[in-house]
Amino acid sequence: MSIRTSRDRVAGSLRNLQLSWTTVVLTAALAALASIFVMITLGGAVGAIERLTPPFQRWIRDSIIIFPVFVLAVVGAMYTAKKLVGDKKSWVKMAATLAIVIGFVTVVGILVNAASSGYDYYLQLKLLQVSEHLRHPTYLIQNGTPVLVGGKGACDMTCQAQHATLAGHMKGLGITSIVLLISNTALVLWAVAIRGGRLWMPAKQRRAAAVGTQRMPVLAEAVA
Amino acid sequence: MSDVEIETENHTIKRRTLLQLGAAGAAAVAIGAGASAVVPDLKKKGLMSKDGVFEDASIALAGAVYTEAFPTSPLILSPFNDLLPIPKALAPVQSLTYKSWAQTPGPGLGQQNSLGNVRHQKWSSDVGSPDPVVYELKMQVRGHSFTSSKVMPINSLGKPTISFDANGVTYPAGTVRTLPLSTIYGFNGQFPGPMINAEYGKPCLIRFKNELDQNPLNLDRQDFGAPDWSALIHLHNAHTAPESDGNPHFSMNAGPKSHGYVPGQWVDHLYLNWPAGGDDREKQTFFWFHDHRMDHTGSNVYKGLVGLYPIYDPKNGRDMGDERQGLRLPGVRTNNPDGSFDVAYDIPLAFFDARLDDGTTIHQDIHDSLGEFPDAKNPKKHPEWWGKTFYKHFPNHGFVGDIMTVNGTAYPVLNVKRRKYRLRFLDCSIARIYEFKLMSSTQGPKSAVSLGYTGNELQGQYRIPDGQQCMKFTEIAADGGILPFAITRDSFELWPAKRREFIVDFTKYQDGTPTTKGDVIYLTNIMKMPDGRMWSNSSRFGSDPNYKIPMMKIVIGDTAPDDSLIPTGQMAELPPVPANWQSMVADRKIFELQRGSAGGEVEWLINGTLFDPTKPATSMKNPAGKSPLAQQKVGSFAVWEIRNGGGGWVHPMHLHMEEHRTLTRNGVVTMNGGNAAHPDDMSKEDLVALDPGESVLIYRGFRDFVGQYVAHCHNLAHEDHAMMFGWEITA
Repeated sequence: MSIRTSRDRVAGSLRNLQLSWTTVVLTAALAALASIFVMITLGGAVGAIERLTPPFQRWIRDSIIIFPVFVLAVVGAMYTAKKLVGDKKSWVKMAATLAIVIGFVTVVGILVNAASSGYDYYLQLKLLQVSEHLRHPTYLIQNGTPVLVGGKGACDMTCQAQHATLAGHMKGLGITSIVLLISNTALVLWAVAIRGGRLWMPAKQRRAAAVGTQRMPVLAEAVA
Repeated sequence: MSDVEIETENHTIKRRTLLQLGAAGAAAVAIGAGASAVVPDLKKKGLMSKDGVFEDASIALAGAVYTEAFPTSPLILSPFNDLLPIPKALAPVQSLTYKSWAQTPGPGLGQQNSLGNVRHQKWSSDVGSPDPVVYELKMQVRGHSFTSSKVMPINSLGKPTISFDANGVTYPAGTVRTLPLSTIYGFNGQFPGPMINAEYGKPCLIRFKNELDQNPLNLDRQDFGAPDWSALIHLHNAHTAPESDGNPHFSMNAGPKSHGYVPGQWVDHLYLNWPAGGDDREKQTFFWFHDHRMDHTGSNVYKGLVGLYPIYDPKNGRDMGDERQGLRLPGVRTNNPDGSFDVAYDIPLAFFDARLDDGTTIHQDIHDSLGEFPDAKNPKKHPEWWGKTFYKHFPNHGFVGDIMTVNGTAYPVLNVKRRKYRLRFLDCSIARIYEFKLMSSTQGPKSAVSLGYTGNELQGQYRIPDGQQCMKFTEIAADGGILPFAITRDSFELWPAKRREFIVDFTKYQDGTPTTKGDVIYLTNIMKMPDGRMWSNSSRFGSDPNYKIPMMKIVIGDTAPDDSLIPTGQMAELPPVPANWQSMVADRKIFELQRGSAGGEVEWLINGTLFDPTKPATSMKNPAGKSPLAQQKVGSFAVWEIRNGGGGWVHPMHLHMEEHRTLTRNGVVTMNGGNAAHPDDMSKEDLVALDPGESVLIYRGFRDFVGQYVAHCHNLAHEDHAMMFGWEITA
């Protein structure tokens, strides 16, 4: 009984949001593709080799997997925008809504990248630990005889590698975050433009919805 | 109200249509512009595939993540004045002399090295050969000059800049300077080291003696070269027993049981000069010896531990350095009283790119933080090393130089007679791949600075903007020796450690016009390789018509007698590949070269793991469902697969001990020729040139010796950072 109530509530909220679902789906799909492209690129640059190949196949697969998350991000952004600026037609309100959508999908993209990077770093640390026994002592000549360099307390090769790896990930994440912000801005604007600027449900459907006609029962059910 | 709504609706429809049209147009323009910008770039890098887009993007991102500063070498103001050093054959040690050594060479237990713990697996008599000719090569600290020319210190913008000297003096921008000597570790103190002219059937024993602890000239050793001054010498790619192979899989487990031989120690390497399996078809023509010290091969090679070892075949006079006999390849032999011999018109050319310190670039890499070079106190600038060789052990983008040298001299001149020559090309660079053409130029070389180039475009320092191909090469030999048939080539690639041999006829141009005395030809590099990853331009993937770097000036002289011939028929027979080789493919051993998994020392891996010198590697799972160890029974033959695991790098993968036949590239059979990119795949090789994402099947034998060997990437920055695996021949 309570489940049915929750589902009804979510379905009702989605109906009340009066979204243009085509715009939502298109925006989410583009953002997912961009985010996963950047994620794979980041992995290729600084990530773990276990997850490198084959990138194209992985791009398609991971984009499909992550797509619902981006749908939720766009819906969440629209919900937030409606609460904050409303859904009335105005250039300022539309710009604000778009900025919120861009912000949401970018944050989600960055989180996806960070999670992927974190997993890469975990794999890399595991490899470093496994391969630690393969490290070879470093000697240098002191007073004509080879002397072992380093020792306990010093940051050894593995430690150095950990630092260097982490630094690579952090810098990579920083750069890709900026790239994501720029690409998401372009993609969201394009998606809305190709939809003729339609962010919300067309007026005709709104009126129908207002008199109780369910326009998006399937999607509402699916999301619920 | 209703009218307004209609008007509004009409207005909205127009606006929407406008937006949609605009978006569609923008998408079309973006796709078109993107494709026209990206597609050619992908094509010229060989990355034109659905996965290549990701690799290219990763390369660009890696470039942004790992920013690395390299110095700009001072501009050599008077190039093409120094004569090309043409090495003379090293004289062997006379028997009376080496028999008086405290520890004489010989086949007995403990006679193989100064530690007394190894014997030669096979002595020369075991293969029916006489006692070896003995040589002694001392590894010594000395100074080396790359040019006698004055230089102008410049920055990355090509502008004159300040310079320094070892006494702490700073010279203002625009001051013309003389380069200081670079500190080298050289065989007998020279770079490249001495040349040994060897012959099949006449074994050589070289006593490599480490004297790197002695520094009679009190030279600053700077911050590269093995920190324990150890060395391990490999004759690339002779058919030798493991104890004479100079490989770390053996050395970490036997012999020195260390990275290499430290100062005060010596090792006798016995080179039987005997083809694999005693099969004449396995004979080769050009080896070189170089350091192979684990983790510091690159720095020791860059420091100068390189030597040349052409090998001739006197059997039936086939290729004995006498153009009147056998294959009649160019060469006039002179037997010297000391037992050595020289061959005129047969010239080895060792190509090496270097980068000289500008005194303002910070020296910093992971080896410093490991405490290997405490005296350098890095990270730090070293103005006192201005003008000397600069090295970086662990560059994420690989290491390439910006000054090109041939036989240790930058931009030399080769005076030739009007006749045919045999030129033996060797790439002894850390990572640079070359593509050579013979060009003429009416205006001559112009400095890249004067042409307005900056940054990486300054690499090579000089260009011949009006250069035009004027001659062709006739390729006669590759890593594995004489080719079955000669190949006429407009240009050819030379990857690290590869050897290619050519006949060049200096009597006429490619259109048949005769040359005249005083004519000038430039040996020109046309492969642009801004970093150690791979080319950005080459003939195969889209050349840059403005990138023509003259490496060596060739001046035509007087006519000289010439009894040599350009081969037109079959020159050599190849060892056969069995007809059923495809039945061996399923159970092959697979090794994938991978861009590594961490940003520190373990950047380069094979099959996901670091080089472990204590044991043979494990193959990836093959189609037969097995992951066998890299072990082969002595006398066996096998198919191995070498893969480039991607990441936007190319890899020159070298397999020790025997030559292989290349069966396929990316599944296409190439062993009978027909691959335009690698026409010499039809011959034998010891190095697989792996293009991006490429997979190569090879067939090779494992004969005559048992023990531990290695295979590794010959981009020495990769090799030193774990891109190597051990393999073993078992009894």
